[in-house]
Amino acid sequence: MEAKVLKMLIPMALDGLKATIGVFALTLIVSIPLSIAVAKLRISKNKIISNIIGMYIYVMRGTPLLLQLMFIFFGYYRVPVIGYAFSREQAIFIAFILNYTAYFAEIFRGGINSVDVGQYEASQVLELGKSHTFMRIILPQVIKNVMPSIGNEVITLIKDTSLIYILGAGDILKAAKSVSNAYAAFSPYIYIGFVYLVITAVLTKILGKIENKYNYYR
Amino acid sequence: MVLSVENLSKSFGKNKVFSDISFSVNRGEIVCIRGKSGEGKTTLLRCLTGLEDADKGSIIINDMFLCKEENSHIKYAQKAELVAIRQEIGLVFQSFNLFPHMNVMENLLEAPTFLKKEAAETIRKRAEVLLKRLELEGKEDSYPFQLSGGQKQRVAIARACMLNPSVLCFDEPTSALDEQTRAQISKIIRDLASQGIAIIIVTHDNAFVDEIAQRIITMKDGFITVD
Amino acid sequence: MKKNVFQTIKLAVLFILMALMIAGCSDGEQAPTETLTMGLDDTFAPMGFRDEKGNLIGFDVELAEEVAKRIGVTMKFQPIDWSMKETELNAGNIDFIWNGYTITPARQEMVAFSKPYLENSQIIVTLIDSEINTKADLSGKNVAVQAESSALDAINTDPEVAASFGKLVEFSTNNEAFSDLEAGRSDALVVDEVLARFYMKQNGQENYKVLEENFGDEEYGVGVRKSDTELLEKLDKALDEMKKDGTYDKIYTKWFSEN
Repeated sequence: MEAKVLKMLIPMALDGLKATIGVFALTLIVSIPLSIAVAKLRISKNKIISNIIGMYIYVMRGTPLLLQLMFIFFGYYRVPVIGYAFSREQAIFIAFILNYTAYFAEIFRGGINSVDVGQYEASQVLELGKSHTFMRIILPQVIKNVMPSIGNEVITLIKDTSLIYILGAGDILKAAKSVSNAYAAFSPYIYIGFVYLVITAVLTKILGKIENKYNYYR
Repeated sequence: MVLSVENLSKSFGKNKVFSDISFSVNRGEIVCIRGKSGEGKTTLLRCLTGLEDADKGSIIINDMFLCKEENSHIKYAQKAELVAIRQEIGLVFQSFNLFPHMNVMENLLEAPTFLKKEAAETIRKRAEVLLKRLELEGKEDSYPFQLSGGQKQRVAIARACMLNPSVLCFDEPTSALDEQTRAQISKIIRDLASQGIAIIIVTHDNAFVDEIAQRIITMKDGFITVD
Repeated sequence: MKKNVFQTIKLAVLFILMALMIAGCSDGEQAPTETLTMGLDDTFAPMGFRDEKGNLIGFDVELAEEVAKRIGVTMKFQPIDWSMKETELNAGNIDFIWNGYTITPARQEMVAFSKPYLENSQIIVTLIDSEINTKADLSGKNVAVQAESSALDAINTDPEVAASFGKLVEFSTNNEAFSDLEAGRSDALVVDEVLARFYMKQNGQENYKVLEENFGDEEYGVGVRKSDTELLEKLDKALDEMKKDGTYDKIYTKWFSEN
């Protein structure tokens, strides 16, 4: 019986893995740079901008990602925000990116604020220019500060990818459900549980390596 | 006169920090600005080095106007000119503010490399000469957290000198040091002055003032008396 | 600094839009004939689910394909989450809800149903050697059921019997409920007959017993939007024809052999 289960599960899981890793990767690639920009806007001296961004962060962190997925895909025709209806894939990416950008932005905001103001002043006196100062002096120090928190969110993200089920999309967890129902067996869930553990182990190792890279100084 | 300050005033809101300050500094002079804490010495220094904007008055460095009075408003130099003028006056911070994620050599190379005015080879050679003169040979690859207080200060001095300033300012240079390193910093400052760099030291360490000052400016209640 | 920040945002937004357009491009080739979409939970055996190659199979799937042929459309199958089915239908993302969809008065307010095409009951299943034979025998016993299912609803329409249970345990899937029965922790299981027969076939029908008494009969129908009256007519006509000319029976026998 297990052989039959595995025979069906493995190809379905590999297929589902595309969605799991795809959502994970695209969200990270877009969210992290975007969140640095959002964090800077949040710190902006312009009160209007700072408050608007603050609102956005509050809404995205204050509602479940599941709800956001549903709202972005199903909500458009009730709340005429845009006349355009998102496809399932678009809704998934928009929801994940908007949601995780908010979380990362708060992390980066904390990290930026914790860099000593003396670093900015030394850069100013050395005429390094605002953008060069941010990229070469401030950001590297921020990254060292925030790596552990970023790592946490990354691990959470890989698990959050299973939420795409609400829009009917298939990831590895849905593959488990399909096989489980087809064979009236529970073991597919156990196998997929292992898959998540393996992915998390790999991610944790990579994150650890990155953190170590920044530990060459104190 | 390498630096000339005329009728400089600065307030934070209703709080008048100093007003109508005038003085000048010549090449190779060592000038100490002293006064009790909170008298505005550091703010004056920050105005000279561009970290703060003054409200009124003018600052002239090497015959270039950093700022001047025009139609009873203060007007600052702009863009490229501003950057060029501000490079003429350097600052060694009280807490040094070295870049912790860069080693000593990288700290030194960062600004001149970015400003791109010389070849990389030339910049590097100058850095090596400076490090040698400041007795930091062998420390090129060390990181700030691995250095002693005195060593960090010397790196901060070297870093400021990499831009060839005509004026070098020090904010409370002796506050973090012990006796022995104080003697060392005296020697270094005198050495720099002998190369023609004008030195402005803000300090409330009267013993140090007595030891090193050629001229003394005292700040009190927002005004100065020049010795 | 702000200029740089805005530039970054502009680039990021551009990037997102590009990604969206690429993502959006992937689904959308128009078939020459009209295409209708059937929404289903593609993990719901035996009505609509995947085989070991990942192909979509099931009783409802085959019925739908046959109906599509008869009314002259191409049927597209869209996996959805079951809890969102009416929302998907009314949003226009799907045209049919067809997945073991029980006709209830509450649902009749939200969608239009076809004529019933399959009968279902909420049956009571025990292990073959159980001493339980009637509803009364359930008194003091442990009963398992799937959470949020029509089985649970059916139990609740019989509150006296429900109160007599020793324990009523809800599981998120019927598989878990069956496992609990086999482990001996639950004495009986209340479940859709259609689902139960499929599961029992998987695990050996001889291991189970189905009681004569049950918790009620119900019917499956196909859900369409209330405004699609013409579509509903065509659908009912096609289903009628299939019942008359034996196609329906063929498909039925394939999926549900009697116990």
